[in-house]
Amino acid sequence: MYAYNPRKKSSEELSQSLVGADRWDILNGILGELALKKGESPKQHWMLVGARGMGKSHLLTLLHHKVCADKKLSKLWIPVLFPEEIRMAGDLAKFLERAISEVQRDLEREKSPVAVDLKEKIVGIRTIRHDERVEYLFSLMTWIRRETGRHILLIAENLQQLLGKKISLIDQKKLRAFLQSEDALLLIGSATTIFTALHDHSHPFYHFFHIRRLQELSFEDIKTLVGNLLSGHDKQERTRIMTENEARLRVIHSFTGGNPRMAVFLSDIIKTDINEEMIHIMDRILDELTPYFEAIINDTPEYLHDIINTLAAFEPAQSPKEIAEHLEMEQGTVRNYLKQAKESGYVRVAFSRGKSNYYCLNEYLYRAWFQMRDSGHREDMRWLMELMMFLYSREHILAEKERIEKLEINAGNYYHQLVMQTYDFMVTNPAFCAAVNTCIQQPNVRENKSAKDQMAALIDLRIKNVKKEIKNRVEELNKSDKFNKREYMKKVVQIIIDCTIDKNDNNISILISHLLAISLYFKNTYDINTSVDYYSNNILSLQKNYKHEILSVINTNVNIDKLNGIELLVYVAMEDYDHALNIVRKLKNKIDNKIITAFFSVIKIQIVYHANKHNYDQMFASYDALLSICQEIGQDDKEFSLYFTLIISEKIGLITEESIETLIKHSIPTNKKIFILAQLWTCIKEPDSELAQKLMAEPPVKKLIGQIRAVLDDAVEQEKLP
Amino acid sequence: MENITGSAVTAGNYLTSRLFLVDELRKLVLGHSVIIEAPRRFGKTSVLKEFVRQEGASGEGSRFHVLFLELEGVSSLDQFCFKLYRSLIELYVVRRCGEWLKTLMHESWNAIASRIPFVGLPEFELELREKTRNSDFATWKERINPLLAGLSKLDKRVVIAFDEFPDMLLNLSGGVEPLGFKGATDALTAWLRSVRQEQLGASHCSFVFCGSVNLRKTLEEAGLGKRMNDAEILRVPPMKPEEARLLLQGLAGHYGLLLEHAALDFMVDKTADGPPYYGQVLIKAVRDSRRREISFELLQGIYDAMLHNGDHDLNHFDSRLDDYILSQQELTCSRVVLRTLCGDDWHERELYDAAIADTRLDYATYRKVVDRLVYEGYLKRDTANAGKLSFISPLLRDWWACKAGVK
Repeated sequence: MYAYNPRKKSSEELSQSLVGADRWDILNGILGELALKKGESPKQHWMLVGARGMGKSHLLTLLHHKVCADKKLSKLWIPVLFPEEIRMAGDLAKFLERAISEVQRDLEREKSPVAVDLKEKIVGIRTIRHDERVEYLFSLMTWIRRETGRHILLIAENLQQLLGKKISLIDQKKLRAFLQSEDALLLIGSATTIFTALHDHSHPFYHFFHIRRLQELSFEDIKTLVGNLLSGHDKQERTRIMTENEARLRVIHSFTGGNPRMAVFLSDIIKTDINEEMIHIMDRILDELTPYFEAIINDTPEYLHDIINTLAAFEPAQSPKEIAEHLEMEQGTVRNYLKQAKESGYVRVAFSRGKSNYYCLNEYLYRAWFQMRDSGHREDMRWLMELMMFLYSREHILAEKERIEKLEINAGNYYHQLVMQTYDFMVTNPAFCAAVNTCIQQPNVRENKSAKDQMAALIDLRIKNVKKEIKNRVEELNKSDKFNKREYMKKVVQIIIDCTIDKNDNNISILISHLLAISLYFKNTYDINTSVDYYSNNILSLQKNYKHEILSVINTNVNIDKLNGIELLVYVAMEDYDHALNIVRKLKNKIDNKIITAFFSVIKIQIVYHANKHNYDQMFASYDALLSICQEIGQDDKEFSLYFTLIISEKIGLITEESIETLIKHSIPTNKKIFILAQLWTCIKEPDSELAQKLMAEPPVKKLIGQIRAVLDDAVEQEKLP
Repeated sequence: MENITGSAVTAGNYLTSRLFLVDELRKLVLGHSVIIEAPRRFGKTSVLKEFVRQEGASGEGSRFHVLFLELEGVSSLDQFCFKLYRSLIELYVVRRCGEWLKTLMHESWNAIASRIPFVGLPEFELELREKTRNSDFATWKERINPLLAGLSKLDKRVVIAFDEFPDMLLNLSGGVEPLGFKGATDALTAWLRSVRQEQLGASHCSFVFCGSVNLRKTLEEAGLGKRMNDAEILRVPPMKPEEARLLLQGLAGHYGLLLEHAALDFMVDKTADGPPYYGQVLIKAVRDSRRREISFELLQGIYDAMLHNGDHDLNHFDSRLDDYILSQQELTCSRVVLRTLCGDDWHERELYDAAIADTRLDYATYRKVVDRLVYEGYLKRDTANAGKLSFISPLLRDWWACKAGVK
């Protein structure tokens, strides 16, 4: 697919495969501006900026097709599409001459009467002194405009080569002056970065172009793109392949930084299971990528090569200090270079730790390629192991390892060695693997924000932006009085979910939205049945599929000094109770009450869920966590609400008596308060027993049991409602 | 109204509240030469181009013939004169003044006569170039002076607009011009002044000078500060709040952006007292967010992100300080002044006492730095606030505060 050349594609093919709303936005924006009304002049010159493989050539080629095909536009414009690599255009005069020659060829094809005259004038260029050719060529363009009544639309790629390196400053001024004062020519260019000529104020083209960046494709866009590539399959088969490979697609998306060309390269892997063929595919792909990556390096300023290659060669994410140590350079210099590399899109901040940012490559595949090419790395298979970790989950690799072990094959086979080594590496280097996972996460995050800022910004933005909409919809809901409390709360929860979850959200955002929604519902209704269902369908599925990913992000990004409590909820949802307890110990009473309430709701639901499934070990773990956290924050009374929940759950048939008895037995050695559950339990289940009678003789106990019974009856009634 | 970046803004995209500037220019050129002055990005070229456009659209109804010379790529007197000469010949030919042109051009006429029908063709330019190659400045003056004097025979006043004139002067130091910057600037400005003086009373043509570099400051630094003191100054002012609102509503409407009242008020607050460019920058940032409905809270986030990350021209305010202020001590002083003003407006003397006096920079030099910052569009002396120094606009202040780490 490196041979992929949009210039060889038809307009329909290009149109169908143009993915990404921003790209269509840009294309339609340009076409809109080209549709000049009578007497109007062209408005502004454009520059599309994006790394190699982001789709600039694709978009510009499609633009050319569309202008040629449109009757109205082709009467206003003579579109000229320069080759992607502008060779033989070493200065402005040669560039303009080339442009005019292309115009002449187009006019000749159209059998325009101007073509013959123009040809003569082009031939005459050779007789003109070199330092006077530029002015002559400008006049020629003005003449073409006058004679044909059309403007010249010059579409030229990789302008960082021409404007950035080849054309002198004074020639740039002349070109700018001409573009400003005459309407004969409109320039639509592309570049891989916002090069010096565009961002240095002393250059003539500083802020001259209307710059639009091509953004990395979102996950959904990558899915669409890869789906389009499965053209050999029917729709059903395509859907099946895409659904089964959702996880791999996410990794491809992260790994490629949302780069369409990279995604196309890696889409082959989606069809391959983890086996020996996969190694050959990876090897072949990385080889094919060599010209691509070499071109990128040629485009990159030389002083950034060392930085980029250090990030490729050593740890997946490095701080400026670490990079400086590798390169034996001053930290200040490294920081400056990193800033430039970040602005140019080569690197991004992977995470922060303390006061340091840790940087990684934006296009992570370059790291694999670099290590493959570098003989030292190739020998220790590190690059292959990293690729394995990117593409296949830990569980998958474990399963493959176990399969190989069962075969009892000696480690002679390269592939088998790789699997075993990869697994061993994952077990013995969790920090490295966590860093790798973080580096392939969130390719669109550009700002350097701490975990706390990210979380806080996430929640604040959610709340602020949706507050109004939620309020409006709830007000609308309140106008109707036909719902009972549970139905009403279910609708409120649905409103919250609709308003807070966006299809482009990452898994942590989705998780937090669900956690807050379910805790709100449970707190207001005590409808444990629905809550457990909701937990199972929404939160548990995230835990099962993305636990590793979510915990990697949290573990790597959490800055113990900057916690705010939401991390507690995430850990609890993932049933990582050790970390949850750690958070509580650090924050103590500083955790927001709403988060505490949400935490208690969630953990109670977890306990009931495990009881329902007879997962007693997990039930005990959740219960012990609840007790520990209650003790840390000094809210021991919350334990009693758990008992209440358990009793209701048993009453409505969600859990068995056995579950409660098991829990009591488990807790007796360490928690004397469990006796209270036992006593309440006895009063409810065996009201005529001697113990119950004795307890009920106390008026407060009798009153409490009466209230509990009323709630239980109501809960049972609610369960009976359709 | 569309958000046009990079190029001058004219016609339907020109802010209607600023049309008075075009009218003002029209009045001034009836009797004077004019320098259009304003800091960078205030819309000087747009005023000029809108004037050219309007006069062009009026056709025969216009009171002027307008010659527009874009001088950015010009780097020698020879190139300047050639451009002017060619434009004047084209004007005469267009006005069907062939016979008169013959009288004016004397011996030069024979060289040109046979080519008159071809004026406007690329070949004409080549031949003209051939005939005038190696002319020195004195020869050029001999050729051009009669053409300028002969403008009285035309039916209308001629306005010759020199866009990027000060930039051209700076190009004269590039090595192409044999006289160098000072010599060439002296010769050129002296000649143009003499032409203007001769025109006094006769009033056949006016010059309009415009450019992104401040012309008077450039001439002052060449020791030629008085060379242009006969020209009228047309200052392009910052936007009033009503103008800012009009601009923002126009741009937002064109792109279908729905701005909440509080959001619009916020934007007006940030862009008033600044150039229209700031409004463009904000609207671009909003468009880049790819949202249609813009609440106040959302806008605040967009605004903050723009200050930190934006691809906009505000960055030049930082980088250009090195160009305006050459002495390291004065440069440091300018940064201290700007940083201090991020927090609050200050009386000039009080700011000196509080932030500069300890650095041992004398008050006169400090004043010079402040004057330059005012002149170049960073600061203003706010007459509505007892003359205190403040940033020219809230947006610039916020951006500087962000950059300086104050915000």
